[in-house]
Amino acid sequence: MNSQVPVTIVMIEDDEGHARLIERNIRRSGINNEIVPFSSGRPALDYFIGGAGKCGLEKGKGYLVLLDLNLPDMSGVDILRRLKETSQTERIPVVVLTTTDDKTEIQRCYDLGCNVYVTKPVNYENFAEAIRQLGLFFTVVKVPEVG
Amino acid sequence: MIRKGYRAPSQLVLVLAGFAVVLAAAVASVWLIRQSQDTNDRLTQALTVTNLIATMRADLRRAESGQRGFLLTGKAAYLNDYNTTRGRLLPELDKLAHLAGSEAAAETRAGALRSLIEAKLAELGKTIDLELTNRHQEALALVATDEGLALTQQIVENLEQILAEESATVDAARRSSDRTDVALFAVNLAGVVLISALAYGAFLLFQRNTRQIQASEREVRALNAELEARVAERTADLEDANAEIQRYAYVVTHDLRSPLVNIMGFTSELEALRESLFRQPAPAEAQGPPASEEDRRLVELRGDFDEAIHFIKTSIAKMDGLINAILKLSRAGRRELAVRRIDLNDLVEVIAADFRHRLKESGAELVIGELPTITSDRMALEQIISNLIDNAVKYLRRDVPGRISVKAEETPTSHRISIADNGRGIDPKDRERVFELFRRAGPQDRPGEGIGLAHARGLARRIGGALGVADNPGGGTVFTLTLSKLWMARQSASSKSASAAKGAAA
Repeated sequence: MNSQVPVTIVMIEDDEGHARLIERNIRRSGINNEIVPFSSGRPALDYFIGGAGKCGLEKGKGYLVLLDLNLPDMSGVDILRRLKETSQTERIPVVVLTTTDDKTEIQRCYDLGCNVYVTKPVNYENFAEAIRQLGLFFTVVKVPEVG
Repeated sequence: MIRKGYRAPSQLVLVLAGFAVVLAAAVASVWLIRQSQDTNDRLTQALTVTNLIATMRADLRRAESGQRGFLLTGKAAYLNDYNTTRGRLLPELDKLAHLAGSEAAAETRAGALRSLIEAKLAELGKTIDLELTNRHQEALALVATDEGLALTQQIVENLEQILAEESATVDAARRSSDRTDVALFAVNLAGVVLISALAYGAFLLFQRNTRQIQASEREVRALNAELEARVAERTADLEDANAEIQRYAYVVTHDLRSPLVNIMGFTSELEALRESLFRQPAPAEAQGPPASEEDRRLVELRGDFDEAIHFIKTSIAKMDGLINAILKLSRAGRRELAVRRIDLNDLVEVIAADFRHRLKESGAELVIGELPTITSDRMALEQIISNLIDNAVKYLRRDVPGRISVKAEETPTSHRISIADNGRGIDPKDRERVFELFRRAGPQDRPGEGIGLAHARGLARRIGGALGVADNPGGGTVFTLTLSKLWMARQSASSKSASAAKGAAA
């Protein structure tokens, strides 16, 4: 990943096991960036666009979001919409990583400004492979700084 | 209805009463007309009698005046006149007697009149005879006796009496005729009034019946509408329930998948740790017994570990297969149908081509009969039919040459496509079970997950059909796919309206 701008990966994933597996496989592809995990939607939104004191975004840093659509407190689609509606977060790349492969759901996410949509393979080998490739993709992608 | 039992006889009574009135009026009219005819006859007779009497009086006077003229002048012209008229009197009397009838009084009177007239004619004849034999004075003397005059007066009186009686009869007949006319009029008027009353009653009855029939019709229509509404409601409920089950299956499988990914993932992670956990034994292990107690324990532990991992992984794979199967079914349930005209001959031909190799291998034959062209979803039909043929091929008996046939039959409401085989058959108690998910029948010696028939039945339902199984009479099994024509008609109607809407929008 861009060496000049430190990029933080924000992972919004309710299943801790999945989160752990994703993190491990990303690390295996040589990504050493900071990973901030959230297991529900509300704290994640607070982190991005929360009021004073809650916002965790730092100026000059780059962010990348790994978003699961099935969350306990709110839909990942809503989080996506909020991120893309808010000026300070609209340029942050969002990778939707979820089990749903419903056509309309995929279309909806792209319509809302999702940058990449990846379906989690059920088979673990494929799952691990997909995450590792995603990690490799992260090493080459350019991420804008937060202004 | 109780009223119906009471209504029917009253209608019949009305009709019978109508007939009775018409009959009575007709009989009365006929009788009265006959009466009136009798009266008329009597009137005619009376007139004839009156005329006859007038003629007789005139003839009597002429005969008398002819006699007197001859006596006075002796001219033959008077004698001629006398002769013609005197000859007419007796026949006229006969006619009168005949007309008067055979009653005793009339006969007596006729007899009296006859003797008077005969006496008068005799007196007249006598004077003429005396005159012809030139005994003029004797003839005049005979006239002078006034005997002839008295006879004439008596005859005239008699005739006038008859005339008076006849006129009384005529009056009576006239009165009777008037009465008959009045009665006839009254009878006919009464008939008309009665018939009108009956007709009005019938009209009221008819109106009431019509109203009742209309009310019943309305009731039936309302019931029908209600029934249709209830059916539609029930159908909607079932569709909702079905959609809910589909959603449920989808959600459940999704939610099951997440932990499964974890189980698989961490199992793989554990497996990756295996080498670090159990130190690689010394290369010597392959040749001889383990070098130390610790090494032997390590080998044992590693075996246990591998076994555990193996069972976990095969179980996961199986569970993954099941979840995928359910997911596949629920996806098939959510797939949009593409309904169009399909020639089943082509479709089955294409499927049969896929099985050609397997059929040849097992020495079986596939016979395809004449199939119809129907309206349906091609993919669903392909999956159902190929699934059924696949099963038929899979469960053929090894000891007899296999024979599979695809046939079609048309009923007024449906197309039935049957796939029959002479294979091992299905036990009657397993007939419904084979359609259940993950259930299979008979010896489990062929590969399969127990999904095919459940999937096929689900698809059949989606395309407005039903899938059933029965014994093949010659041994083996017959699966029958029944496709509803009504469903096809509805589908083509809705697709037509949809394309029309699309055309309008374009």
